Amino acid sequence: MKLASNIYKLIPLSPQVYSLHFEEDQTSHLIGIYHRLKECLEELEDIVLTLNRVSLFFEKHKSKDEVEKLLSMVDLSAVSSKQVNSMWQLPICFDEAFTTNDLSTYFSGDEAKIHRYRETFLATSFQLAFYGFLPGFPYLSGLPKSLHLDRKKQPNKQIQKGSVAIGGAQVGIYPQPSPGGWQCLGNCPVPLLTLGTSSPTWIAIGDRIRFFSVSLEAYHQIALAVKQGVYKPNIVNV
Amino acid sequence: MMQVVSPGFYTSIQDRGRKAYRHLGVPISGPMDQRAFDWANALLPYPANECQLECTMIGPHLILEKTVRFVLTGASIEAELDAMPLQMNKVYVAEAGASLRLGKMYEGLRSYVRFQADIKVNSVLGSQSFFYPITPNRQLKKGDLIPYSVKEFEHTLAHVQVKTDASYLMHNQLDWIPGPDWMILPAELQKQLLFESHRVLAQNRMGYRLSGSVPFSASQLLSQVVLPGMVQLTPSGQLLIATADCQVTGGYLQILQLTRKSLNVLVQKQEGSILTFQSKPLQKAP
Repeated sequence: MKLASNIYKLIPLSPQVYSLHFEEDQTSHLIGIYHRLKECLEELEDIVLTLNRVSLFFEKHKSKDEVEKLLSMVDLSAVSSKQVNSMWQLPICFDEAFTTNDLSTYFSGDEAKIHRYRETFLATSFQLAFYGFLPGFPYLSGLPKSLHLDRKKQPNKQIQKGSVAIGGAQVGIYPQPSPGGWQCLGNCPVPLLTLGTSSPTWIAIGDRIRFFSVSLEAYHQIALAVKQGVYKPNIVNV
Repeated sequence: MMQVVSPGFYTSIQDRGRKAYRHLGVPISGPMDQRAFDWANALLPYPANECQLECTMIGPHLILEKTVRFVLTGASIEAELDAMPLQMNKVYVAEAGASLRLGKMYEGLRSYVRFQADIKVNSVLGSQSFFYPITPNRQLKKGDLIPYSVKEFEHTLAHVQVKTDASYLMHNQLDWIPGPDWMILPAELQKQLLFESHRVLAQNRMGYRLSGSVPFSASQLLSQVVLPGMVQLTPSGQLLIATADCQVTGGYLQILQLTRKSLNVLVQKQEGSILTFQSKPLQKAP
């Protein structure tokens, strides 16, 4: 199966950068297409996935015709069968020290609702859709509709490093302190970027993630292990 | 060692940047003014280490421990080597222990200092460009000691100033091609945006914020890839033009893409400068 040109629209951004724009109902295949394009296309500086686009950064200038020709030669038949995604377990601490009481505010202090929200969140398997916004900021997809939370009307001046936060249908983890309008749920002591090691990140685009709840004490133990460079998140066989 | 007596207003070390990690959300960084950077590298092409100092508004004061050649490019800047006034685009030799004192800029906002030396700051994700928190620092600080090595220095005849066309520092019209969301904007608003003048309200290495009077709120946009030179329209009508340290994705309306040449023009502008866009795109598509 070749990458049919009628399933995407090619958008030139600059003489070196082209985006493949997909309609929203194809986004579930996008991670496979992304990995396949990464394998097949040469002369790429980088390739970046967002929710409905794959963007190609070429080393040299390319005409639209040249890019269309390159894309027409990509065979996508290997996509669905070959792709193996890992399942990772990441700790999350719900201690109020981290959350600036966002859930409490959102649910007007209704403890039962907050508890149910957290339980459903922990039972959810997420997929790392793409990285963006800040270095090592993952956009996680798979949040059940009942857990969608509206963004804040007035963004916070500073969201803490490690904050696990919800913006509409998406989940993210703040890799550094930053202004932001997402609702904070808890804190994850494990940064996703691993600078200074052979691979800059553990968790690849398309990998699955589940969170497990940890106490404040366990949180600090993990944070210390991360600092000492001896922590590695659990990988689960699926 | 290169001793930083005073860091200037905002001085960072830049090479060509980290171009292969946008997919992890890491900005590319690298020089704001590519032209001035390339020119400095052309004047002192060796060694292969491409680090330069990018100075903003006011340059640093440095004491250079080892004898080294250097050149200044980009915005014309007040500069003295042991009290001898320096010219732009001319290679000089700083003898061991010399004091290189850079001051204010006359024309433009960003000057580059290229040394014929290996600048030894750590490389992170394939680049020595400063970008906090990927690198420990975002700019030089007073008292910093930057290690550098010079391969067996040999004296040669004095260099001459190389003539270069610096007229781009005075330009104030920007060339562009349409961005992915340009056609979403109604024709009369497109016209207005291209007709009116825009004032630089704020700037840093992430981007330039320009005034504008075309308020247009698109319905919920998904975050898409952002490139240096991309002109984004914010709901208030102000324009946000992405530059070297820009976030790799963003959710504003992506209306225009500046040409590389015009991006070099933009990044030399101070706050308060007035800019306009060309009334027609440079070409239909890149």
